[in-house]
Amino acid sequence: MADSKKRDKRTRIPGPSSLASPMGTAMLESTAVLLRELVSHLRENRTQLREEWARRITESQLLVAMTQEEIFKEATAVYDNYVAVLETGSVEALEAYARDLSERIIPRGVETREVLGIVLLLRDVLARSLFKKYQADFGLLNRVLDAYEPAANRIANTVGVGFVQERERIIRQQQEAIRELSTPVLQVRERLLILPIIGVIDPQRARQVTEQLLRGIRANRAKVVVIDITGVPSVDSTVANHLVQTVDASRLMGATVIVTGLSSEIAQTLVTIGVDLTKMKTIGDLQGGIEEAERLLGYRVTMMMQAPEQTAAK
Amino acid sequence: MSLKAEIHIPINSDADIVTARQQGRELAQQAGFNGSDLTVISTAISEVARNIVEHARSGEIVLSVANGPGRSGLVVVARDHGPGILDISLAMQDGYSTGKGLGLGLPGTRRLMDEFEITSKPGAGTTVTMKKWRR
Repeated sequence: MADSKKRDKRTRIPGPSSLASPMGTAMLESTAVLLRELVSHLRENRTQLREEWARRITESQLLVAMTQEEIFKEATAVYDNYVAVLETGSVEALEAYARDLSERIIPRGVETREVLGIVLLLRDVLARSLFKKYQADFGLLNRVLDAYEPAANRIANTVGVGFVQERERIIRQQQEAIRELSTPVLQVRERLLILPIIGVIDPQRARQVTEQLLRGIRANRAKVVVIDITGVPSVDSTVANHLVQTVDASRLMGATVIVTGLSSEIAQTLVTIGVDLTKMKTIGDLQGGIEEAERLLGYRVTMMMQAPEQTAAK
Repeated sequence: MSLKAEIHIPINSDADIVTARQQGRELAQQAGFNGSDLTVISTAISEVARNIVEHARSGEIVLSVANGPGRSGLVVVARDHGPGILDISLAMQDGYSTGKGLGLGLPGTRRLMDEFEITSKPGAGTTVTMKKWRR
């Protein structure tokens, strides 16, 4: 008995149009009928339900970054997509729309909880209208909800997941961009490079820093490099190890490295851990580091004589 | 002052180390730590979290505020179900490392904190419990 039901299901309901969980043939057929009825109910009451939903969105203080008209416009689009999913059983169009919607609203600061909130509100608005319509017949109401719930869950899932995926894509993109920006090797004088490091150093970034620096040393024929770590919030033994290795590698390339910007707290902590930094030349701040580098390179910086005011005015 | 009883931070990647460090720093601040103690605590958390990522791939860090008689402090528990440590006394020696690190992680962390306890079972995982008291 159970086997024949399964076979029936497979042959009769092709692909994505099977919205319901495994059920018998009779049940599936009635589900299809119920969904059709549901769809026509939602079409008939489109205006009123859409307005109700938009009102509830505003009431709940969701999508505060958007204007009333925008909310209504998006609400209409989501509503129509929603009905289309119930009708066709395919979430593809909704997926595409959710992606597009997310792309538009994420830059405006709409949050995940807001998107989930509005989808759940729509679910609530529609369920209430079903309660109202079928309140006289409890058995029918139950069957309608049985047909409606799985579809509604799937829709909420599609929109929520679409939003989160889009967000993750943006975050990945930004991470890449930041990584590109984060380690500039700057030449300040002939044979003198500065490498300011800002932010957290993780193994991947440390590797990148080392690579860029060594490339910079070769390209600029640098003799002295100042690495400034004022902007590094925390240095643990692993990060210190990376620094030491970078210094060693630079030395092999013929450049002396001066590390600047080690805070007193970090210095104390590193000594307690027991990191051996004796091989590293350190100087308190960036300015001192550059002065020392200039001295090593044989530069002497002197203040110019104050120019006469007449020449300045000309 | 309202303090959350315990903060659980799952550790699965380098990014989680940063999260653990920041949360630890924040909780320590709320618990009344300041200055170099904050750096010490966040560095110690960083070391044990890094150990989890490097040796066990995944685990968790649990942060809580300790209220002992007449003193308060911060408790950090780092727990994983990784390969475990075969010889703890060896692992606690300066300069010993199975990886490519400096071999300062565990012994260095012990020096940073006031109390440090490590239990490990080969094949079953490692738990480090450490405390820092407010001075």
